[in-house]
Amino acid sequence: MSADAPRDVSPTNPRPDDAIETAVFDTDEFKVILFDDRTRALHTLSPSASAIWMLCDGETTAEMMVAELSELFSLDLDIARASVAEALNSFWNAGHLDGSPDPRLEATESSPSRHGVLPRLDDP
Amino acid sequence: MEARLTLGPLRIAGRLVTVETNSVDFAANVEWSFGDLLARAEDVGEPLSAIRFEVIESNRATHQWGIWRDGEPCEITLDEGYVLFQLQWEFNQIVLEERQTTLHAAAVEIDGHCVILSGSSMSGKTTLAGWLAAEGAGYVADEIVALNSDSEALHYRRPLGLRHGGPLDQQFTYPEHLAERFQSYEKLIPVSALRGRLMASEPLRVSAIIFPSYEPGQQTSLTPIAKSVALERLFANAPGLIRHGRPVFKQITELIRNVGTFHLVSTELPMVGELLRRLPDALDNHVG
Repeated sequence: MSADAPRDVSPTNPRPDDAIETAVFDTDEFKVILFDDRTRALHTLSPSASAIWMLCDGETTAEMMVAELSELFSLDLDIARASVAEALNSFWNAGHLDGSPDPRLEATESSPSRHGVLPRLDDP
Repeated sequence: MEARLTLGPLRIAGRLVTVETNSVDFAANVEWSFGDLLARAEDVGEPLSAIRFEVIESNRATHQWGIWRDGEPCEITLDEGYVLFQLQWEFNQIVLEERQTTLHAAAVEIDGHCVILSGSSMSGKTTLAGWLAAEGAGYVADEIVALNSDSEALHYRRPLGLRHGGPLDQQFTYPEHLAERFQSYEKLIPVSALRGRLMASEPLRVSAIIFPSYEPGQQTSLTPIAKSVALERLFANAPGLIRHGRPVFKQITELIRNVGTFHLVSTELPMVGELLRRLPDALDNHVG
């Protein structure tokens, strides 16, 4: 993203950080593998986390993800909500989402809190 | 001034390489072990800057050796039995420097299919590549397989590093005139000595990536594996990925999508040969 481009770090519209490359394998399997160009690390996502990651498009809200996940995996809404919260928190903490802390840096007091980023899911 | 012998030029990843040494015995080892890397006549005239290695026995009493690259020291306190392998390691470095996408792997050509054998040390890829070459497969590379921008495998005709007492010991005759003290840890065997045919110099389209493992007591088998699993395994064996990041990740991911990916339990080499000869059928069934 260029310095002048509009940034949307809305907690309910997560999208990938520019440093993240996504590989989707959906022939005979469904798995998403993320590559972080900053750390050169690979992250293999679980099936539910893969589905949630695919919804991190900057437009889909967290509550929309809950509905999608519930339908996709035939989950109770509360369970789907917990899964979405867990996955988004995990993405955030790993630095996968736009606006999340750079994983190369130690967390500091000025770093945004994940609880501040995902308020709606912490208290649905 | 002490007399020196100059060997080469060798051709490594597009670069011309010469080796100077003050030891006649060491020169003979270099000449034999790296003979398959010798530049062809048409290469020599190219206006490329050559890389010059000096491999010098600096202390004849203690058999201490040193290696310099273009005048800069690489290693200056080498044991005699390791100096040839250190030189091979320096050659590997040239490939890593010159090529962006590299895999820790061997590669052979079987009936027109270029097969990459990827895995960590001791997984058996070198033994497998050497055995297949001795059985008539084309030798592409060992230790490092570099890919060009079209994801074709590039030749790197380095010698095979074979441990003493391995299954390939019967496949070659070690020249009597060579001083074995330079090959006391392993032997660096040029594939041409294994009776394997050398490849033409053209890059090869990759058909399959196989992850071998030597598992005593297990039945030899070749099993398709998921692309995601293949990517995870290649990631652990892709030095170019760590060095160059995203473009290499994208290239490797795309390569994996377009080739067969297999796990090979390579307990019995003759059985492996039989399985790999049937690889074209397996690829037809595995690659959509």
